[in-house]
Amino acid sequence: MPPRRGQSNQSNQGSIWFIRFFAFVWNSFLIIIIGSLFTKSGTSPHWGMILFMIPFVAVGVFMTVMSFRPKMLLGIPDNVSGVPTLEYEGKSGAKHELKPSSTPAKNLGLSVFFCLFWNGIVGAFVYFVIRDWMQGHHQWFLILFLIPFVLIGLLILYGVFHSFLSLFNPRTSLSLSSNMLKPGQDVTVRWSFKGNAERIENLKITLQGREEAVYTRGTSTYTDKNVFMTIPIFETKSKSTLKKGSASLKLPDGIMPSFEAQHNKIIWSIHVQGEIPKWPDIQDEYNISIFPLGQNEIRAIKDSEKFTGRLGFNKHEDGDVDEDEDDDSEGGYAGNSFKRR
Amino acid sequence: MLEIVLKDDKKRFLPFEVIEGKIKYDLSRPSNEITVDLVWTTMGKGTTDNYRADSSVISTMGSNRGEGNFRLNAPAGPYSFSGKLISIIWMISCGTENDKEIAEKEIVISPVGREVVV
Repeated sequence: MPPRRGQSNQSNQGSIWFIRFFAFVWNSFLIIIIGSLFTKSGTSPHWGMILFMIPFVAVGVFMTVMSFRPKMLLGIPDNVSGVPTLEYEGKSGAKHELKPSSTPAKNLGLSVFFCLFWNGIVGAFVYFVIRDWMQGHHQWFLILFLIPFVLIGLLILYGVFHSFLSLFNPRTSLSLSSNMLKPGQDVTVRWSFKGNAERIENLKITLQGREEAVYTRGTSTYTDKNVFMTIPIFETKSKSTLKKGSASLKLPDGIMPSFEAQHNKIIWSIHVQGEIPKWPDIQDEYNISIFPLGQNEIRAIKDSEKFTGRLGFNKHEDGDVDEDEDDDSEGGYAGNSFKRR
Repeated sequence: MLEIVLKDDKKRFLPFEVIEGKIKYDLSRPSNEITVDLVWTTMGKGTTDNYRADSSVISTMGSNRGEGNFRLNAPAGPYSFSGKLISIIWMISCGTENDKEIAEKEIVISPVGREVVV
């Protein structure tokens, strides 16, 4: 008989301790290897080897830090009930400055780290191949084997360059008239750009809802995403209205509020896309929380249901849970105007 | 054997609504109590997440056979949901001590009268 559902996931503790143990073993090996480079009597340290070890040390430090921040490492939300709470959203109803889910500087830092790690390892092999080549040993098989890795390294290097150029893009600032967003609510979205916004040729602001599912196959973890709704908020090519402005947005009734569990999420986000000719485009994402309806709104639905019976709560159940006949594929009340992907 | 019987055979509830029902039991092994939980669980492509939103305990008084009432409070959310990757399923789940015998009944918690479909 399968275990009952509804208990907290207990497997996390095992994963956390495995990561801590792995970080300990990794770092122990590194200390032994680096120590041996310095303690060989009568020889100076091999600086090429020390440089080669830098990415491995960085990984060791990263694992150590993250093993003591397990929630961040395993993506465990603070709020296991899955429903967003106001503690994380500030004062209820207040004007709400949004923070981008990533910044150009953060993207650059990550791409530089990955570039150093990848090209550090590949570079060491390339160094040995070149050294052998100059000594007359032509290792054709190793050269052919390394070509795809070098090409990937060059692509990563291009990514670093791209991220660097993005640093000089105009910076978006986005705010909402309320931080307590609920299905059916009207909200004003305000935006402004710092920097040379004249370079932007086309600005598009959209609200997007997507599902995210994290799953494990073998030893790898994958995240699948599916955008289920895109609502246009604003689009312009006019330079005069582009730099600063506001637009109103009506959240459709009957939409699914934000949901965040450890492996499954419903994420709502506002996307700002600015096209800049011959330059990396602006691609900013701002996650927002859409809350479930409160008791007053539910009471209003209940009262209206007493008279109309439209939602079928008072119908006699025939044993079939999903029995609705008027299958409205928009997933909510009638009269919503939104675009689905 | 455990059987979950919901009041008026109702299976669709609004958030914040009180879910009432009774557990009929005819146990093969004695159990002092039966725990009734209101839980959500995810189904679909992702690894399963679940959460117990409310719980109620029925005392059997040592009897192997009988029935007991329960009351559970539906929370604000999440709503019952059906997507391409994720489904969120609400259910009433009950079990004896050490979960030797269990029973589950799927319900819908949503303000739109059915699961939110995308």
